[in-house]
Amino acid sequence: MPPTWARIREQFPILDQQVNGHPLVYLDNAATTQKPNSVIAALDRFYARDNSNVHRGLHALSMRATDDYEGARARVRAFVNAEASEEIVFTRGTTESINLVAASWGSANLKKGDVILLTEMEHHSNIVPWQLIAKKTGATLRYVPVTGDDGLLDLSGLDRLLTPEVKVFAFTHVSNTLGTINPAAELCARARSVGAITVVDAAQSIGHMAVDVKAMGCDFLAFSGHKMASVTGIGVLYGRRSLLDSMPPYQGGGGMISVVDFYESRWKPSPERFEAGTPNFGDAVALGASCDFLDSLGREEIRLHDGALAKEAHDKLAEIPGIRIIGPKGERGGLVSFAFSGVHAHDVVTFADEDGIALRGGHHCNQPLMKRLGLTSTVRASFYVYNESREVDALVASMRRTIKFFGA
Amino acid sequence: MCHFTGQRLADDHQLKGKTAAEAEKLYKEFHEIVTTGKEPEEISDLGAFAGVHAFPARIKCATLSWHAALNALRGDVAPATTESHTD
Repeated sequence: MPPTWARIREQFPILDQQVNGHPLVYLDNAATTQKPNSVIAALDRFYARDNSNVHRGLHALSMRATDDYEGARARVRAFVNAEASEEIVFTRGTTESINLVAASWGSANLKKGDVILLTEMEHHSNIVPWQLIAKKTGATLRYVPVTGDDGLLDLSGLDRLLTPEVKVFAFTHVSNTLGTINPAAELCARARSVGAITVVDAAQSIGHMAVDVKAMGCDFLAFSGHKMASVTGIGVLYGRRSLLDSMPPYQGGGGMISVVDFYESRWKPSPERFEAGTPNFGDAVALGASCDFLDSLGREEIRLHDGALAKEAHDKLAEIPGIRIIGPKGERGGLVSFAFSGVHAHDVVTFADEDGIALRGGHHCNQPLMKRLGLTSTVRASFYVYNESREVDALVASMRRTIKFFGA
Repeated sequence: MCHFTGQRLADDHQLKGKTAAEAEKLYKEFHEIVTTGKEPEEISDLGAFAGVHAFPARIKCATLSWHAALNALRGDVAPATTESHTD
């Protein structure tokens, strides 16, 4: 039975609990989302009936497991509107996907004098892999600045930054701290005009809106299952097939070779080339189930739902004296980040937990951005399909009590 | 929390005039209070921190400024940290 918006909370058994004597208000969805019954059941069904190692197996279970695994790949292909299933590489998550591109594409294509263009709002996972490959190849890093507390990319100087030396432009689709939705299609087109490839970090967008790689025009797209109602340990690297097939392997092992000799080997094409060893087929099946779940709700409906809650939270929190909200005032992804002068984010989050509210406080793996904005930490409330307006009210009431206590 | 413990450590002269050995002993007592909730044997401001033990995730916040003070005392120039690994 497909889940419906009306009874959506019932699909998430974890939400039905008390925390510190209050009904759980889970607002830490940008860190990880909860899982619906259909996803948990898919995982359960796979291990109860079909589990076996995939590919090359000649027995019934292995063929079934292979069909499940490749079926999940085909499901993800449709979910992001890729041209072919061969463009979908399963990884452990966004971090591994970006590391794969940086290490494999970077080692084959970057050299001294080349520039890697990033933005000031990148998560550490879209900075550190590029720093590593820059050190190895002699390429340098360059950053598109953020405008300030309103958290937009300052694109006024993009022409000056996007010079022919730029070989790759890697940027986030939706900022995990600011909630900014970047104009990904425009940025990809601008990069293409100077011959740079694009890598889009879709960790915060994939579960919240339609993400279409053809419409976006990106060369690579990275995301994680656990932020889109699926399980941890599975993620995806989408890559343009011609690029993937021109890249060297990321790791070596079984499953990724066509021929192995004592001193040399030859590789299979994508996706096998990048999936050395036994792949994570069980979790891939759960990822396929989460694609079904999100499509059954409608991804445009999810975008509107999460965006509306974030806007409501933004507007109600803005009435609290002394609050500093960062991120765009207009359209935003499903999260709100804020700070109170004189009260550390960790204290705010501890107090909210006493009210049964799960928030996140800290630098959100955005230390360079924090430095840029002159902050050490923020409190972040992030919303998902099961959150309701009454939970925004619970958040605002809890924040008011906390601030009153600290006299800030 | 780290600001408050640091402020108490500095403003209340909890360490001023004490020998290095006494400071280390005082930290051991403080650490026991914040990790177990045990009240101090003598009447002391440190008792105010007994409530921290109910929040295990915050113990490192309460002890950060102590680590900094003890690092300084021991002549350790490395940045003070309560992290055994990064987050």
